[in-house]
Amino acid sequence: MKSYIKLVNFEINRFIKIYLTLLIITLLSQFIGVIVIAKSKMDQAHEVMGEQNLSEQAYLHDYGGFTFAHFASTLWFVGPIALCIIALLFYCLMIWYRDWFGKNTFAYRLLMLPTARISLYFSKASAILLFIIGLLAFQLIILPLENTLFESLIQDNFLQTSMDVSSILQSNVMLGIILPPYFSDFLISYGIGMMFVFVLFTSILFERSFRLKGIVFGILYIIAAVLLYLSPLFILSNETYSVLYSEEIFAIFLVLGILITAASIVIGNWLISKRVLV
Amino acid sequence: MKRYITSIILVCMSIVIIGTYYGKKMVSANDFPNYSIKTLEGHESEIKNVRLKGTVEKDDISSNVTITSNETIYQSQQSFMDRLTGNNEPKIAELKKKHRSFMRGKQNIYSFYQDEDFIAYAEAVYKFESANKFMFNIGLLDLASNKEISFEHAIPGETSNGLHVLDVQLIHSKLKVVTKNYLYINDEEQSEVHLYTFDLANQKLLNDEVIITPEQMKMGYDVIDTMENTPLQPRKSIVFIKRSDASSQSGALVNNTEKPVIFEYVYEKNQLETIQLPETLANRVVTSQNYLFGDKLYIINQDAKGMHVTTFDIRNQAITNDETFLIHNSDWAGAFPLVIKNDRVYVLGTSDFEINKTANLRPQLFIAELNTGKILYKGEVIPKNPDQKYNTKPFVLHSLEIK
Amino acid sequence: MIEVNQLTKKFGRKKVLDGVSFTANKGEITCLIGINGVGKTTTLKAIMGLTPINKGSILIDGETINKNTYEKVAFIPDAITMLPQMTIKQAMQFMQDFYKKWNQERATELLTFFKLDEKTRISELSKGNTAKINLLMGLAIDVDYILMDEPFSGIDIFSREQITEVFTSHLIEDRGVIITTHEINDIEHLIDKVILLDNGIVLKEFNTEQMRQEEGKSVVDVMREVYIG
Repeated sequence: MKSYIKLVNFEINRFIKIYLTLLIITLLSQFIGVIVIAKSKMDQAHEVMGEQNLSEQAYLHDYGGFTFAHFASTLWFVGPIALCIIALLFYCLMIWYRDWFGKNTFAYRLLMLPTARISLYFSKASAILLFIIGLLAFQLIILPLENTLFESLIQDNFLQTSMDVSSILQSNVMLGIILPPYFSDFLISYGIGMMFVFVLFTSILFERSFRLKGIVFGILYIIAAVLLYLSPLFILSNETYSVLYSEEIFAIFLVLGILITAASIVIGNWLISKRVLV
Repeated sequence: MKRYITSIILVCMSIVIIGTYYGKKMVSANDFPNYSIKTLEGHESEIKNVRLKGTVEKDDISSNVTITSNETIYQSQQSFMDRLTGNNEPKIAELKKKHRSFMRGKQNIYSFYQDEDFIAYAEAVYKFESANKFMFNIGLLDLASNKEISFEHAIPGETSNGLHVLDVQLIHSKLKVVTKNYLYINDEEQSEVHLYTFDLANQKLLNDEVIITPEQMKMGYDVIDTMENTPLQPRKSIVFIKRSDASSQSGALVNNTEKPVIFEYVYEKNQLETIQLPETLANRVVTSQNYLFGDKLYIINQDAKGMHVTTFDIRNQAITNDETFLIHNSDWAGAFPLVIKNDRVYVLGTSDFEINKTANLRPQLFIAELNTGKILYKGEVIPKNPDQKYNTKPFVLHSLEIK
Repeated sequence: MIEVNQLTKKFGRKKVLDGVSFTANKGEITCLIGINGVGKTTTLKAIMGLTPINKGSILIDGETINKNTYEKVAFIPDAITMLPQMTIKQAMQFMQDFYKKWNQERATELLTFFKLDEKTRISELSKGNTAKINLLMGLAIDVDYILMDEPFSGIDIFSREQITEVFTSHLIEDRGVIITTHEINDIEHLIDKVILLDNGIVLKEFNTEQMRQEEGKSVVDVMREVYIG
């Protein structure tokens, strides 16, 4: 347990520079975006009012005001979030391969630590999870600040409605998925996410253990896990009415999710303890 | 310790921030407003049995609410399981609790029939593999023995355009299923009403008859809803209304020779009987809301003068009552919730929030005597805490129940 | 005692090790010599559980390799095993974090002996200094056995001298050492036991002292006999 915590800490520190860079990119892009979008919206409004000779009231009647949702759908806002998602997905691979590649075979060191090797597996997964929730927390912190800034830049009359954080999160499909309105949905989203991380880790270990053949095993493992997880959908979609109650369907997905996660951990443990090559 | 500082900050900040966000949402979910019915006219004892139902939405969490004279009851603060199972008909939820196995895959409330001995079910379901596309899915539960019969039966004729069940009845051990079937005739969408009779013991279709033809449907036939508690209750008949020309619902009759008619199909007699409407009602049924309660047909119209309720006895084919109630508001949604019970008319005046989001109209409740038209009670629903701006967040009352 | 029994390892269809057996005792320096092939490094990796084996068994003081034996055996591979961005100090800190038997005093002693600055980054080290740091990381743990893979390959003569000096010092004392090499000259006088490997099998296993006394042959003499015939 102690060495697991040390390893998690170690994994976090190893990525912290890139991670902070991601946070700063998000911060800059979103704040600059707020200023740019708010200004351009106001300029556009004034331009239209000038061209069509409209009063403020007439303009607002015809075109409506602005809300933070107008900003939340721009690339300024969504772009850095997408970047963070892609970076973390990529890091799911790199968190393993960076220990093997190049002259620096740190894998030697890690695999010879006097600790159960599954700790490495868990520490890397935990680091990924912490990076994800850290990003979410960061977004939750800066969102109200951006909202305040946005509202201060839009002239009072042009602000259609003042939005709170949860309605901003609901206004955007992408945000609605990464920060769902209910905590239970949050657990489901990230439970499924972590299941996928475990499946991916195990398939990486297949590759690290059996190399060329392992690539095939790894890909087959991912396909098998995804198909198994989605199998209830294939079976249920053959019927127009569901014989199962929705709570039973949920239970099936829950059991499958636990099963796939457990299988990934068991196989991963076997691979990293017995089969992995340096 | 110093080496752990970044990790500690990351973990603590994340948990605190995300925890606070969801924690606050959870607390505010329990913080729904309370409402009361403020009496404007009449005596409070009138509203003792009244239950107003609707939904309140707050911070993207919507909850079903029941408002009575002294309480605001939020049935569910939308637990995870509630959202998962979907807030279906309470009647279906109740049946599911009692007969979990039988209720599997059964959802359409109109497909059920229930009496003291049996629950019957018939639904038309789409089948990929079947040539006719739709099949009947039929079930019967013997409440005494808890035995189930369940089978599928092909639907004769062309059903590829779909059909839906209007009513299911069990008459002398025969299952009667009334459906509206959609057809394409000469590239035109049309429909007809079928009555299928099943022999449940032998799982056989005994009879398929068209009780209302496409030609008749085109003339504007419609089923009249009943005011009984649920569509599950045994009924002797199904009643249709023919509103002259369907395309002239805007008001004046295009073809005066086509008078609105009521048709009653009595299951035991196997025939459609015509009931002539008196001249005075003929014009009004075109735009009316109609409800059936037993043998009584209520024909309800709303205009600038108020609300007209006419009671027509379909057995005796006579108007037994005709009153005008001074209840009117142009901002109300077209078909307002209404219940006629205990010789009283209960009306819930609401504005349709979806259409009229800025309307600052408080829902109003009227109770009037059916036979005299006298308003016995008038009240409005107000938030208990005056500074709650209930109209800025969706608050919709959609039905009322009288115990 | 490290016991290697009938160790067989295949890469694809090719047998790199085919029934290799030997033992290495505490207080002895055992040298794995092979002219060609990858068998030597693979043997050390197999002992450390860094590569799965096809057949045979490996016991360290009667135990198969497990997390506790990593406090007992240190492996010094012919590669950089610390992160390049780490300083030597951070690398030592990392070791101290995870190994109960890490001996900081000895680490500092070795650092002084090798004349290395703990602020230097791993990425800045020369090949010779990398080997020294690897040696340091292994020797500073109070392990019973040390496995060294080609400690002299590709490094300068002075580094080589320093490393050789370590072998005769108190730093080795009564530890057991397994060393693989193909350059025997520098360390011939230190070796207690020699295992000659070729094509995945043990051609000859002998005690150097015994060989010198009884047959009057040096290690190189025996090697010449065995490999060239």
